This record gives sequence, C-alpha cells and structure tokens, in this order.
Amino acid sequence: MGGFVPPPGGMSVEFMDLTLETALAVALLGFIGGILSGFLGSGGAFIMTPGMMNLGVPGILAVGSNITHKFGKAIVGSRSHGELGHVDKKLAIMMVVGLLTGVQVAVKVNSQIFESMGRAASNLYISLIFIIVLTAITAVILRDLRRAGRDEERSPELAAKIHRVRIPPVVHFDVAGITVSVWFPLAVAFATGYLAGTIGVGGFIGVPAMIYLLGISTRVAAGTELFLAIFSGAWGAINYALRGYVDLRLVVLLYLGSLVGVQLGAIATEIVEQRVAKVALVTVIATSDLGRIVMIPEYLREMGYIQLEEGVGHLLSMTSTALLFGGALMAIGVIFKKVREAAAVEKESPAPSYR
Amino acid sequence: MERKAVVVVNTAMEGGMQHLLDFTEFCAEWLRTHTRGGRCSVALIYAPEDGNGEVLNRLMQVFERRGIEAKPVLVSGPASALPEKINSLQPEVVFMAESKLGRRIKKELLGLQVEFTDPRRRELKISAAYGMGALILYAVIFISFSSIKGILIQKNLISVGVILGTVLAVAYLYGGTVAHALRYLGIKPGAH
Repeated sequence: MGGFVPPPGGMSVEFMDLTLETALAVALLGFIGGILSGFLGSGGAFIMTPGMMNLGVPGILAVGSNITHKFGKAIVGSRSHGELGHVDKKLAIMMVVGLLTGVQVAVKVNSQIFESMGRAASNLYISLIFIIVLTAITAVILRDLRRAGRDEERSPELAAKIHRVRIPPVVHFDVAGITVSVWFPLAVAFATGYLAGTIGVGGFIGVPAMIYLLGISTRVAAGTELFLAIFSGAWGAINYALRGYVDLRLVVLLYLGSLVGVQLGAIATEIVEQRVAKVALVTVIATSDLGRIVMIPEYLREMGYIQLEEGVGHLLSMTSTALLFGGALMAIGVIFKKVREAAAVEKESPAPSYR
Repeated sequence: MERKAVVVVNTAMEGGMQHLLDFTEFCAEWLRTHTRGGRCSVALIYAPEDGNGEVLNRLMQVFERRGIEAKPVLVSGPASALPEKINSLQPEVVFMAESKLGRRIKKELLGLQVEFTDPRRRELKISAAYGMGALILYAVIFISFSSIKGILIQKNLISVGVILGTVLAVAYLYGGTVAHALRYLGIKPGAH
C-alpha cells in the first residue's frame, strides 16, 4: 500500500476531449435520467452524475454540469408548473437561507478536496456521499414496498414530535399549516442544499423531509421544493461556474436527451401504478449505488492507497458502467412494458361512438 | 345592428370532422369576441360530397350553442363560382381555413377575411422555428467551443453569465421544440 501524496494546490480541471461516442453517451444519459425524472418526479441525477463520471468526466465537473442542467430545466419548467401555486412563501423564503448556505458549503468542500487532494480524492468523496444517500434511500423504499397497503394512512409521528419542540423562534406557516421552531426547516434546507451542492440530488431528499419531518402536505412540499430548486440550482450553477467546474457542452448534451425523456416519463406516470414506479426507482438507485461501490477500489488505487493488478481498474469501470446502464434500462423496460400492456388493454376495449 | 358572416366549409380540409369542428369553434369564438354580445348571423357555405349536408347540421350547432343564428348554404358547381356566391350574401367577415381553395378565392372576396390555421400545423411550425433556433445555438457551441472555452474558464462573472445565459437559451429553445412537437402529436406535455 502506498502513501497518498496530494497534488499541488490551486489545481484546475481540464475539459475532456469530446468524441462522438462520448457525446452520444452523455445524451443517452440525459435521456435515461430524463425518463426517470419525469416518471418519478426527480432522481435523474442518480444516473447522470455517476454516468458522466464513468465516462471519464471528473466528479466535480459532472456535479457542476448536472446542477447547471437542473437549473435551466427548473427555470423553464417553472413557467408552466401549476404546483408553483402551492408554495408557502414564508417557509420558502426562510428555507432559502438554509438552502443557499448548504449549497455554498458543499461547493466549497467539493472544490477544496479537488484542488488540494486531486481528482481521485474528489471522485472518492462524491462517490461516498452517493453511496450513503443511495443506500439509505434504497432501504427506505424497500421497507415501504414491504409495508405496502399496511401503513399508508400512518400519521407522521416524527413531525408531531418535532412540532412539540419549542426552541424559539417558533413560527406559524399559513399555507403549510404548521407551527414549528424555525431551526427545523433551516436544518432540512441546509441538508437539502448540501446534498444538492455535493451530488446534485436535492429535491429527492427535501420533499420527503418536509413531509415526514415537518408535517407539510405532499402538494405544498412539492411546490415549495420546486421553488427552492430554482434557487439551489442557480446558486450551485453560479458557484461551480465561478470556479470553472461547468462544461457547457455536457450541459447542452444532457438537455438533448433529458428534455425528451422527461416528457415520456411524465406520460408514463399516468399509466403505470405506484408500486411499479417504486420498483423501477429502487432498481435504478440500488444499481447506481452498486456502481459507485464498485469504483471505490479504483479511486483508492489512483490515490496510491492500494495496488491493483493491471486491467482491474478498467474492469471495475466497465462493471460500474454496466450496473448503472443495466439498472436504468431494466427500470425503463419495466415502465414501458406496463405502458404497452395498458395500451393493449385500451385497444381491446370498444371505442366510444360519436353521434 | 346585425353583423353578417360567411364560413366557407371546405371538404378538402385535412383532419376530418374534428378539424371542421375546431374551425367552426374558432369562428364562433371570434364572432362572440368581436361583436361583444351583438346579434350576428352566419351562412355556412358547403359543397357537399355526400349530398345530405349532415356535416353542416353538426357545424351549425356550434354557432347555435353560442346564440349565433346559422343557416346552411349548399353550393354545387365549380369552385370558381364560389366567390360570386359569397359576395352575393354581402358578408362583413368571411372565415376560411388555410387551404388551396382559400388561397385561390381570397383575392376575389369582399369584406374582412379571417383565416384559420390548423392548430396541429401551427404547432409544427412553432416547433420547427424553436428547433431552428436550438440547432443554431448547438452548432455555435460545438463548432466554436475552442474559442469560447477561453471565456468559460475565466472564473469571473462574464463566464458565469455566458454559461447561464446559454444554458437558459438552450433549455428554452430546445424545450420549446420538444413541447410543441408533442402537441403536434396530440400529447399534452407534462411540466418537470
């Protein structure tokens, strides 16, 4: 095992040479991520950021480009999104403070690791955060799937406990319909911002946190999160761009696939039932998680902590890519199989006649 | 005062009955908006191929539902006779759908002419316009990347402005292309 020698400070990222194959792969990642995002509400980053890392994009550049991609989508999408009418403005303004602080700290930590310890350490850090988050989410979804039908009416007990904590200032939020110590929404916002800034996945954590920890209705939580996503996206994009960690070509290539995929995913939501959606989601998250776990030895080797046989690194990278794309394609396959089945049933039923 | 209008129902219009209904809905809406509750009557001119005028009866209901008096006028003979027939009714407004027939007769008509564009074709045109903008932007980014790279890595507000401005422009133009193409295909785009 060799010792790790950090590269000289002030390291800046090199944009990769973009071949046609890589460009198409990035657009495909966007497409797959878009389908999942449209179908599940969010979650495209689970595949886009690790996918770009597998293609050889430094983790920090993948995160910076993905967060910038999300920012543009959030701005354009918000113009027509009805859920923006369900924002608790007082809560949202308060949460923006925690959110932006979280994003700022995350970008700072990410940049610091990359600049002082190098690319492999940065990739390792981003992968570890991914592994922690994805493993936790996988566990929660699997538990939900096992409990399906048994506790759907369960009241958010944790939220009730949190509401009883009266650390001043305690504020009432009209639209959300809750009275809570402001430290809790601030903590939720900070955590959401930190994850958004570190791995580009924010809303996926923020919405359940608002529902289960703060006791806000799903609709208000989703609307408020959409509002917050614009700020976290903008702030993350500005901060990463200011440090030179956004590759404009990757962002626009992601759009090429994602803006089509997101519409297909949204159409599928009207056809496929909730349980199938959860199975698809857990497949993507678990395989993406495994894909990151597989890459850990390679990052440790690059940092000089362990030694691997020649060719093993390449094999690990290929396995990680296969897991990532395999899981996503399997999930999309399940979704479209259900869509096809639903379409076949509709075709068999008699069409209404016009009179 | 009663305002007279003529609606030229053209059997050569693409899209079938639904398109004809969309067209008459458009005419009725236009009349209601522009006459502000005043009386108006409509003559639906139609050259029936099936000879029974069934189509016309359905279209008349669209006007009658909105309190606009409508009467059918069946015309037989060549298309060249149509302008004369329309002008003889002394309409203030003539509604036509975008079609070869419309283009042929519109120069000979008196009164204000209002043309109806097929909503699906309009969506296709808008999608193509957005698509052209997006294509140009993509071409500029990829062809001149080696030149703009210098700006992007400056790590100052100019580079941030260029990145965010370009990203928003691409999301807007390409997003518009996809959304309008979906509407052309009859799919209501979702928002995410």
